Amino acid sequence: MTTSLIGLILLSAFFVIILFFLYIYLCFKKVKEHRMDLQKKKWLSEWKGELEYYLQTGELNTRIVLHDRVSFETVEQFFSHQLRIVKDEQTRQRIYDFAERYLYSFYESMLSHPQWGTRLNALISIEHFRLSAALPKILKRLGDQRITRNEKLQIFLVLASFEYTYIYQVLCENAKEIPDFICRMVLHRLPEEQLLLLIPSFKQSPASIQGNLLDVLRERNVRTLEYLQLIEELIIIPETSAELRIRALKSISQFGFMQNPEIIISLIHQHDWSKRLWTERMMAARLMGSIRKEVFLPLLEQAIADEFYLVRYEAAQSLMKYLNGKERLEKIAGQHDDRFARDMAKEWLAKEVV
Amino acid sequence: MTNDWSAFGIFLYDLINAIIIFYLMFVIVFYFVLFWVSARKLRGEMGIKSVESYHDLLHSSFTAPLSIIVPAYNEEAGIIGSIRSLLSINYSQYEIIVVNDGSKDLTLEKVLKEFDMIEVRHKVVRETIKTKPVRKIFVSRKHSNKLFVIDKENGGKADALNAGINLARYPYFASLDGDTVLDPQAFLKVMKPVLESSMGEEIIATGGTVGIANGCRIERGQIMDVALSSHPLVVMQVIEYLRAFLMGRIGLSHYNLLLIVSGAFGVFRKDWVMECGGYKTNTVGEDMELVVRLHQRIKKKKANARIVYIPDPVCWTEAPEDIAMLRRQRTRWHRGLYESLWNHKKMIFNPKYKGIGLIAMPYFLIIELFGPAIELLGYVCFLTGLVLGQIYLQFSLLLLILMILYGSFLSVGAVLLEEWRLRKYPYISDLTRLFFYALSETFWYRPLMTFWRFQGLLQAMRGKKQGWGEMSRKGVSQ
Repeated sequence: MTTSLIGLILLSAFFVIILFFLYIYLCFKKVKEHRMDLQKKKWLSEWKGELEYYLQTGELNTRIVLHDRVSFETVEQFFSHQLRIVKDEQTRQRIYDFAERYLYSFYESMLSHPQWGTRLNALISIEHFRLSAALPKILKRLGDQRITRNEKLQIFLVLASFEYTYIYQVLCENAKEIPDFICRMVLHRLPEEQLLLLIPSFKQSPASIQGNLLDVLRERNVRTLEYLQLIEELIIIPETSAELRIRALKSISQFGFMQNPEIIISLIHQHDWSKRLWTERMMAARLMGSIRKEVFLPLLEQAIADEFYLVRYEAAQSLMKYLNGKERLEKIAGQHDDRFARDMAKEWLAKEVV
Repeated sequence: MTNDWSAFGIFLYDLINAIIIFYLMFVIVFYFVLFWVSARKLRGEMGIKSVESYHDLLHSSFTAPLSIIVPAYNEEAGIIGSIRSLLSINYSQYEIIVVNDGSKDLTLEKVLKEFDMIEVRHKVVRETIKTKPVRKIFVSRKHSNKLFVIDKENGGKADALNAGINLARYPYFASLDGDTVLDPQAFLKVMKPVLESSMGEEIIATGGTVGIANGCRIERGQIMDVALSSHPLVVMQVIEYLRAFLMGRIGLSHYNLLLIVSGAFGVFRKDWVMECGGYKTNTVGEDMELVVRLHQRIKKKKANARIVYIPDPVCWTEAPEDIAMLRRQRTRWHRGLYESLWNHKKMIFNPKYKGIGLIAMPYFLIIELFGPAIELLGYVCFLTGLVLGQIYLQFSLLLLILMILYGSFLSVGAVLLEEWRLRKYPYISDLTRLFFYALSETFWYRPLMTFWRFQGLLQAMRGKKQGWGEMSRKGVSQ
């Protein structure tokens, strides 16, 4: 009995010692962080004037040396903050130049760090400071089998920011694993000229990229004839998926003009129209408010009695945009056969009062 | 005869001791596995600044628009601050729907006055989920199209949330308590997994770490300084939250086994919630209840859908400082847990639900729900062992070690994870307090919680019901 009691007491002592070391470790970490913060503050108070002078004139005091983590992180934080608040292009360029000369080597070594979080931070900073010199190393990393998903996604964003010539090919090759949002962010970062070059090869692109490309072209408010022809064609051709057609309808709504409004009428008159996705009917209703044609009015009056609330909502909103829209809604509110259509018209008429 | 009885008594006592010891060992191993999973994940993510690259798209139309639903019942002290903080969040497109659930105080009047709200007439609201009658709907003239108020008859928090879902226009909705103070980046943080989900994978709910606002400096609905409260009960709750979030939820979320998205703040896919019939009313733990049903739905649809938890702090909530209030909260939570498990008892140990049926639900049943009963028995055995002395002293000592391991050791582990990932508390004095309070957990806080949770279990078994968990709030915002 005594032996087992001693054993238990020893076990407890063992745990207490582990806890004690854990506490010492945490305190040590805290002290280290505090000391580092103080050192950073000291470093900044010593060199802040010189850094600001550099931002104003482009002349850098050669005595500024980034030789350790303290100086590196202080400068990194200082310039990151400046990049967030400074709009002047010349000043921003000075920050980029500085980063290329003094920070680049730090990030380059961080890219091979064993912790993925550190590598990810390096990628974010490389993009932030536009360190395009890191491009070969980043591309090499992209080909590495052991790359984590987070890094890969961040690399796509970095490549887009650097307007990498083959970014679209990279996207298409990785179409299966790239989330829509990241794909859009990548495309969104490309300059308009580069985006327009993608329109001719639209039909050859993977389906997931096509939808995102349409979204970005719409978001960027592209207004070329080639783009308009593409989205109109997507509505007519039967091969277009419902999802892509919805996006094309949305794009035309935003464009605010179409060469051939007849395609909308023939779309709505297709026999399976009422069985299609409600989102498609909603987008068509929105389009008919954006491109106001008398021929659309009966279609909108039909849509205001749709079984889906949001289709009715959009149809009423579109009707309101017509010259005599209010009168039409009043008529619907009083006379329409469908109770839901009447309610929706009333709701929109009441909105006008608000 | 007497000897037979005493032999039987000793046998029974030994058996109970053995069961408790094995139970504690099992639980400790389970938690250490969770701790290991969380520690690996958090260590890898240490210091990452991944939301930074998203800032340029805060104002883009690509981010999914959100409806934020704020159910409010007698929240006159904090509601204005909460709405203000919501109006200043970093997000591209969102609407705020405050649901006044028949408050008896001046919640509605205060909101209507502060935000210049007028009634919307002829508003057609699809009652996809049945709720108590809606009296009126208001829209703000100051923040038109962004801030709405639903005034409805009292029906409880779940009913209020359902009314908000019915009115919501956007595909995702966030539910939050009236007194929640949000981190300015909260929506960006919780929507990040949604936006980054892989092709074909749906993220149907996300939640993040909830912090305790007591002791922090809050102005105009925003956290200005994070500080550790001086109140022992609050410090213990801070540790408890860290443990629940950083250890439990990260570990479970890693395997898509998360059964709770905190009621204080969570984001959900509206269509999925509607398909599930919305929040269940007349239950205490509507947040857990909904998540369990979402899991059920995932399995039924054979969908590639996930419920995700992110370790970043997303919101702050006021913790009870008063012992009676804390007791009420904990018994209520336990009743909620009981109800959720009881309602879905068919899922427990059901291989059809894979990890949810075989790991998550049994975990909540054995460790969370029945844990207090077994632990309470453990305390009784510990004390009787001390009284009986001799060989029973060993049992008592072993029990004590296991309980320290279970309570204090794991809590210290949670403090370690906090240091790795969040670093909310800047001073060594904070760390020291967190550490020593964590160590002391086994000796006062844990028995207290065990006792209250046991009471909650008894109440639940007797069938006690309760509506809104009322808590008189001081109002955390200045």
